[in-house]
Amino acid sequence: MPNPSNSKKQQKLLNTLYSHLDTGNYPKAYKISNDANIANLKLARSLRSVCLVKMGRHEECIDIVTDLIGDDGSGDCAAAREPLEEDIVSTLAISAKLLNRADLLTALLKVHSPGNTTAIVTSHIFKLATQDLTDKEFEQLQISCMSLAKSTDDLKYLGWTVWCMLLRYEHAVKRGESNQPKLALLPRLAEGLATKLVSGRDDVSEQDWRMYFTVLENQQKYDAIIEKLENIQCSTPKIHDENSKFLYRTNLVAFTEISKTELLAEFCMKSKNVEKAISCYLKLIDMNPNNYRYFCGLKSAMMCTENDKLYLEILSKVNSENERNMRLFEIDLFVSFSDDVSAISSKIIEYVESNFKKACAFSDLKFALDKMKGVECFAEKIEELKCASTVNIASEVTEKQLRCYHLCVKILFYLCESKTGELLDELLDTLQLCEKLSDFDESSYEDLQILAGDIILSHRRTDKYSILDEMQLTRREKSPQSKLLAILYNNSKQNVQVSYDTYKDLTIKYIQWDSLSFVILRPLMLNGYYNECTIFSRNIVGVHVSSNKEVPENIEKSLNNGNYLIADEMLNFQRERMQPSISLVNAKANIINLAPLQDDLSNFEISLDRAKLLMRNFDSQSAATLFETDFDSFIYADNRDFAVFDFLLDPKKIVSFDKCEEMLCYAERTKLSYKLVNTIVLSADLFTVKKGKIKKNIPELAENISCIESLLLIEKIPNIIQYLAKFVFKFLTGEISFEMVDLILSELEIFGKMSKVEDIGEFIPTVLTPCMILMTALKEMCSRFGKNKDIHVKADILSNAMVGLIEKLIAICNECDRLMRVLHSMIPSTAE
Amino acid sequence: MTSYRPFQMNDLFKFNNVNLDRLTETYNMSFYCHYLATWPEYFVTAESPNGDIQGYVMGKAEGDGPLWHGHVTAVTVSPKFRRLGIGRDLMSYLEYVSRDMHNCYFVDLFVRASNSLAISMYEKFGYIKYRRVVDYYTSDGIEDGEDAWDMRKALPRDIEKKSVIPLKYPIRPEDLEW
Repeated sequence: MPNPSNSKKQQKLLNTLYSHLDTGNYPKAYKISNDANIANLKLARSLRSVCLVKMGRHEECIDIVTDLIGDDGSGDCAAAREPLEEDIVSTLAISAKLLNRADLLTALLKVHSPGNTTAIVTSHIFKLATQDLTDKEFEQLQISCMSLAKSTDDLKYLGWTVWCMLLRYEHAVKRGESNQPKLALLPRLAEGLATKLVSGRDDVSEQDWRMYFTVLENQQKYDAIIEKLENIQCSTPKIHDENSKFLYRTNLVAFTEISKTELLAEFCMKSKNVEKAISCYLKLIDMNPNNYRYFCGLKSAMMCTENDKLYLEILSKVNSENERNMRLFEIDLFVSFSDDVSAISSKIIEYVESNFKKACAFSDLKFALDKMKGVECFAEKIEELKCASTVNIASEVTEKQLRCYHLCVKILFYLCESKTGELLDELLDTLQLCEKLSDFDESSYEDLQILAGDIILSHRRTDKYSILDEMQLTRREKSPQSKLLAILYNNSKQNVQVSYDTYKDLTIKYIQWDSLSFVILRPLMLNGYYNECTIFSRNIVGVHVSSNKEVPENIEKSLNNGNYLIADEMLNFQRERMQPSISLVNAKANIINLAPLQDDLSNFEISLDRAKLLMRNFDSQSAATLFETDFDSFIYADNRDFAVFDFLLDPKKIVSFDKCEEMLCYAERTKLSYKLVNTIVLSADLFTVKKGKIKKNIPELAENISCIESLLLIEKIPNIIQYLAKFVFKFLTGEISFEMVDLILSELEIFGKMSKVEDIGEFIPTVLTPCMILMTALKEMCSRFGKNKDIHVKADILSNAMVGLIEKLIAICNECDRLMRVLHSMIPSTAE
Repeated sequence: MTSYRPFQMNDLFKFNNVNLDRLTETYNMSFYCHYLATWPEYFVTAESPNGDIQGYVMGKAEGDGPLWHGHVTAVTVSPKFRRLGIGRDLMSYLEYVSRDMHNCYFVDLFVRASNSLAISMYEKFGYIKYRRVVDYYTSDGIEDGEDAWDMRKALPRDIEKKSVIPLKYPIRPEDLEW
């Protein structure tokens, strides 16, 4: 009989353990889990596994999890293990999820799947689908979803099953295995289940219908979709209040007539049923004339017909209350279908005359202006309007006049690049005249300033730069557009402190670190603002660490709410936009390269402890270890938001933002540094003083060495890094000799005499960091060869040469005062 | 011209010309994901044909019984695209979702008591000042703390328009039902 006082004691210990876990005190929780009274309990062991994974002791965690699940490592579970209780299953599922081990989760499902926890474990696997799952894992996931659908009356599990099948099939297509018999059947199986999801009830939600149509669309069964859509009777909402979702156990958001008609139009277009598509779009415009998307759809449908005059017929049929949409639609149709330039011209002029007050008028018309390039009468008419708007400007000017002037000038700049100089002078004169007036509209005046600044920068009119200073674009009350212009301007003048202060004023946060830090990051690096660059880069990495956790959690939430397609969108977002973000790759490269400059600047080498910490941070799976990527096949995501610059011309042509290829090249070079340090760190733990060779049988070490070998073949790596990398590589593989040290020393001296660092900002990553890696390797080499005086002497000579080399490079780089101060503080006064 | 469509995750990289405006808050990813995961039908983007985001609306449905209502979490328009009726269209869309999809009794929102411009805009859209919430907005270092107006608009399900009979006394944030 169990001892009652013992089980009381056990319960007390478990409660304390839970409490420490809740507060995140994992070391303490771990200690309690090892208490003799509970150490052998399965529940305590499972909780211990959570502590271990949270403390970064993954291997030990995996041992416990696999032992409790009963997985013998062959992929098939050991037979006849006693089933685990629900709380143990859900705890092990947490550990497996934190380890990113879908295989352990599927093993858990296979062997121990009591009903209530199956949904939890299943949803954990869905969360891991942001990384990749094997077909076996998908298969188990599918089985699990199916069993949930059969055993409960919750329709959403049917949706889960369908989605799982679609993901599995998509995965098979990517691997070229979709012709395999059991995988080829997936689309039809999914169709069968999706049909059950939407049949036999009158409260089918929009998400259920969309899931069903997605399944049919994947098989290109457009006619079936259209037939089904036409027969749907849109339901009245069944929701009573927020408790309804618990009552009905499914998504209840009603499928409305508008949603239905939108889908019908879309699928009619896909099935080339243009006439029907046109009638759908006309109906949609009638139902909601303010949504220009329907006008765009109508135009696309018309472009699929061969009837050149259809647009005139349609124009007579469209009866929209929204005048702005109607006028722009008319212009759009004329531009697309008519060659009558004078008719187009007069319609645009009509729009300009009635809508010039709107700040968006230019962006409304931009699509049509390309057709007006070279049309003299149009330019003349715009010129007339421009002159009329500023006829009394010496004495007064209204907002209306400034807006009209702004629009006309912008159009003329866009049309006639050859007259830029003349137009710019006139614009600047107008601005000066406005300033003399006591009363003018600030907002429209600022828009004119931005336009002037845009032209000055884009045409590199350095003779007018002083005017940009006078505009005081960085003042607090100025708009974000003015501030962005000011940042670009100050970057071009290397006045990075002003740029940085202005950038901070924009209060960039969260996801904006990925999409907007490109505006300032490179200038910070190039001008020696290394601490700030590191802070920015860490913020970018932080966004991705959060996203890696939050997006999967919300995938689970979407699935629980029956929003399957939202779950699918989030999955693709995380996989295709967040994980391969070029900004993330660059940020990590910056942090690696600038690591030697952090903290103790007088310590002229990367200490092994610091290197170990750096490697651990970057090996963290939650931060998407892109440094393991094979760059040759890496497809990056460029999430930088260039559209934030509301400029006349393409902003990428105006200012020199890094091309993605350059950013990848930078990351490749950094990857070499990363691998070298990682290898030194690993080998430092392993080598013995007696044997000069590292143990190659450590898989990670062997992988690193193989990676270094391949990276050394990359052409774009600068010579000095190649020299240094080869030296470290030979040292690590035991090929180094005393003669080799002499040879490399003389090569480095020659290099030091000949080298130039053209780009001051490249100095740190290109030269300094590799030098520090070499110094670390030298230190390890000295330790390895123990008391051998010759090697110590040689190492000292090499060390002095390194210092001398850097001094020579500093002498060449005399541009940046701040950089000079930083570098001088790093050089030790005497070599050891 | 403005197109209205469901907000997509990719829009998080493109909404800076809206969100850089000082009065528009940028939240963490979890916040946007939570709304998309739970109330995707309320999350709508206003977009120009070339893909520039002009504005967006976020909302939700909550409440028991006759307090079942749509709520405007955020509605914002890029400064360049203001005074075009986009705000009105976004609000109309939210009301349509609340009425035709969620069967709500009313729609409500909170607005700073000092923001007379926004208040008069909502009044034009048919909202009334239902009750004052004292110290609803706390200071965040940029804006001072202040009271909020809880503004409401009744929907057809509220036949007797009980939801828009104004309260005669102010309340505190802790008295709010949600």
